[in-house]
Amino acid sequence: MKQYQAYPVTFDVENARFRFQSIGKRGVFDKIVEFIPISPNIHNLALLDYDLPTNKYSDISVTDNGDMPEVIATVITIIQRFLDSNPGQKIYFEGSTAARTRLYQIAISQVFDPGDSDLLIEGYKDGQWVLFEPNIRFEGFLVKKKF
Amino acid sequence: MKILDRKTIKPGKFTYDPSLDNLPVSKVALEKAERARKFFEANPLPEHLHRK
Repeated sequence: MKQYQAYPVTFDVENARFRFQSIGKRGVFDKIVEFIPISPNIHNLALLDYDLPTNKYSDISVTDNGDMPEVIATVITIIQRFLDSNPGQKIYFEGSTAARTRLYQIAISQVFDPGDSDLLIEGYKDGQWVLFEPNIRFEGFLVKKKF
Repeated sequence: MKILDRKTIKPGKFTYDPSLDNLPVSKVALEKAERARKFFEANPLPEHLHRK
């Protein structure tokens, strides 16, 4: 069995903003995850790079840090925590580009085992939501608790 | 495609950080949320996905 170690995470009092550090071949990068409500039961997830010196956030920077599986594993643990404290909510996320969404998809496939998780991931493809599968190019993802 | 190899995620430690409190939501996150809100307006979630 392959095990992925998620990074340590800090969070705010509302459990809506999370921060962790990506540590890889190109160095250490601050990542921020923010949840924003977009409907009564859906929150959008934004995974952003945070540049401390300039206090700037970006969803288009390419860190190429070689640790995307660990980053996505960390995001999944953050989603888990958010849904634990916000029962009945669902999380939507997509990449800032189709290529980035594809990278997320590959990383999800690497780290996420549907049978071993209490999360359900659906993917959006050609106007339909279907259960996540590794080899379908999805346009976005919806995560909710199984029960 | 069936996933044959099992995998697990070992969570990292979660720690409360007061410095993250009361920060303004980033413009990028707001823009992404707005795009998502418009997406769901145009493509409402099917009823079966609304169920818990």
